[in-house]
Amino acid sequence: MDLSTLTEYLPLYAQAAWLTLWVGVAGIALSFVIGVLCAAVRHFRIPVLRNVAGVYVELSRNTPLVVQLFFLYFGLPKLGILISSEQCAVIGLAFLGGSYMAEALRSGLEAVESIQTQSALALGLNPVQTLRHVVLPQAVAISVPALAANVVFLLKETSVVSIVALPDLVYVAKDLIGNDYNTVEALALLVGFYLVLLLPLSLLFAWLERRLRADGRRAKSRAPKTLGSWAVKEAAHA
Amino acid sequence: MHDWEVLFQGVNFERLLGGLWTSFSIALVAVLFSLVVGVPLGIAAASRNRWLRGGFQVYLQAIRVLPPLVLLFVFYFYLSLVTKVNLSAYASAITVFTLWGAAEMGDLVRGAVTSIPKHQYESAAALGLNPVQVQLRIVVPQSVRRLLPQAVNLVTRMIKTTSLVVLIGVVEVLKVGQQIIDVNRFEYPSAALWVYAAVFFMYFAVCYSISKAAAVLERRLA
Amino acid sequence: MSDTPQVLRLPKSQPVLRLDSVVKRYGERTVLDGISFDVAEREVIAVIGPSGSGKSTLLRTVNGLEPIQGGSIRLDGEEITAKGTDWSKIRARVGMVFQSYELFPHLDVMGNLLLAPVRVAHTDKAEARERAMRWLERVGLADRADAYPKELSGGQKQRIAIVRALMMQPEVLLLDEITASLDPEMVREVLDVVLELAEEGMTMLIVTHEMAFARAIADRVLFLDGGKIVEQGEPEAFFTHPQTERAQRFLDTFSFTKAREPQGLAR
Repeated sequence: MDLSTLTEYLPLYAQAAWLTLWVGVAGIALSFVIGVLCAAVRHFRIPVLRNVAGVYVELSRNTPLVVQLFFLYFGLPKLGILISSEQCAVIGLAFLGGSYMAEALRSGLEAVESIQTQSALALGLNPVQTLRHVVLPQAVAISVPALAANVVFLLKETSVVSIVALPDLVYVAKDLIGNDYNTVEALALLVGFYLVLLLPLSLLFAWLERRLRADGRRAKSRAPKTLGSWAVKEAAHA
Repeated sequence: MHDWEVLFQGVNFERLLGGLWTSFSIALVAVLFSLVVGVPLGIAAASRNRWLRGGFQVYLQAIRVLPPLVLLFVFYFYLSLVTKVNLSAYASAITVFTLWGAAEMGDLVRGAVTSIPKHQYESAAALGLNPVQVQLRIVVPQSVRRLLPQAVNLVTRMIKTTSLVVLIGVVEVLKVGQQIIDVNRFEYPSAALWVYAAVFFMYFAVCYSISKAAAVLERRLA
Repeated sequence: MSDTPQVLRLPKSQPVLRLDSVVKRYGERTVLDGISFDVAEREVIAVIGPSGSGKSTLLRTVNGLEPIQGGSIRLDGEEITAKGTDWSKIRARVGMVFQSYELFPHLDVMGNLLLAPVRVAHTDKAEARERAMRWLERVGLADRADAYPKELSGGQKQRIAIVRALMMQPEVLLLDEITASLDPEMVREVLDVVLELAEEGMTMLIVTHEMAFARAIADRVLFLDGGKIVEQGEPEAFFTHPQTERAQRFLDTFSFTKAREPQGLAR
């Protein structure tokens, strides 16, 4: 590996990494918005919209991002819809990510047991207050690990945006391999930059999930089972 | 707008299907290898030996931290460089997706085996079953029930991920589509819309069917 | 004693609750089949019966968690099962405690206690907090105000759940199997709280499997089977000399003396 080649390429990669990050953040933010909307209309069974959301989720989850991007970038202009490479990448990522976010949020909402809702209603809270003060805080907390995993997943998925002619990390690497034959340096920088982008996030989220799961386990082991005398012995005073 | 006809001009549709088969065949071979490698890997990862457990985690996380496309690039370009053997794009793809699939499969197997509560082992042993019988009669059947739907889902993930091979120049369905569009540029100016829509729905038809099958399995086996 | 919180008492001549021919169906299945009874002010009614007899469902119809298909329920003479009832308002007046406590896990004890008074009754926060502290002292949990539900034992959780319902100063309290999830040694601490409330004149409708408790606390026992009130009466009379064969059979399942017959399980 040639150090001077590495330093020569470094700015190119930094620029490309910036683009990857930018597209990733924008796409993920948009995914989250789509996810919230879809989860809401499906959870509250809003007629028509829930069916639209259902179809969207299936389409999005059962097709690869590469194919979605090809259709957006090469297909849509034939309908007169012209979008830039950046817009295309962000929209494509959001189209893919929206369904993943929606499913994560929906399973969070479903995990909050209906009897929690009932006990809030029994106190006189109206349905909106129940959602705001009792269901949502719990649902979001439950969804966090899945949402975090989706963020990492989507950031990894941005690696394909070079197919819509965006000069991202993969694009730069391919370019340098093809033109300069400095394969080793080009690949080392590709891997290095992705590690810089992904490793801290992966570690952070893994740690977060372990912590949340440990909390959940502790809480569960304290909760007695429903049959009185079969109850798990509890610590008398925590 | 009769441009959709381009799909059925001559052998275009068969060519698209052929292209689809190219990536599916990569997925299928990789799934098969992933099973062969991943199942023993997962069982080892579920063992009490901390070296086996730790080693598997290192492997799994190393595979998971990078995008599959980056792995594909590293293998395709780097290996051909050091080995001086020009590993074909097809072979690199199978190698990379096997490495990836074996890690994921191993994790599913590990999850399924470790999910069986300790009481199951204890009560089986208490009935007088020997360790082999415990594995064969108690652990394996329960693990398989848990594993099967997830393994089927892994197939859809594999199929979706193998669409990446277009980026290392494998002539698969998108590439074939591109060729069809190029040839018919003047006769069918909006061919791109129809061809890529067709590819989109081909993938959807396959992945959706497999996902639904996994969901049915999950309900049946639960 | 003037600064300890007391159960709210209103001068009233009519029953607090009046159920008239209440019918509840799930599809084809009739769960409550014409239930009628009154609950007078300060009265404690224990509802007992085999599982699936409709006891819990009965309780849940009273605060609208289960809509009914026939009959009517009146609270202070006002029909609450009529169309257009604002259930949030009714529920603020009817307290309910569940078998599984259902404290809100993301809020600490004080947060659980203040949620409804502050958001629903719009009580001043400082005032509500003061009331909460006095209740906590009464149930012996003043030092746990900042604890989260997962840090509490089952018995502690259930005492908090009772206080949470009392914070709204309900006219009637519904208790749904509140000791069924508890370890035996924690049942007592919860029931003691309920006994105290009864002594102070809290109107209560209690579904329970604790026969000794029902006998000690109730002014009247309702025995439910198959969605109907099969028998009702004074607890002493009911538990010593039930009038119906079904009630007798039900009570027999709680005593073990009959199982000792020679043709028992042995051999």
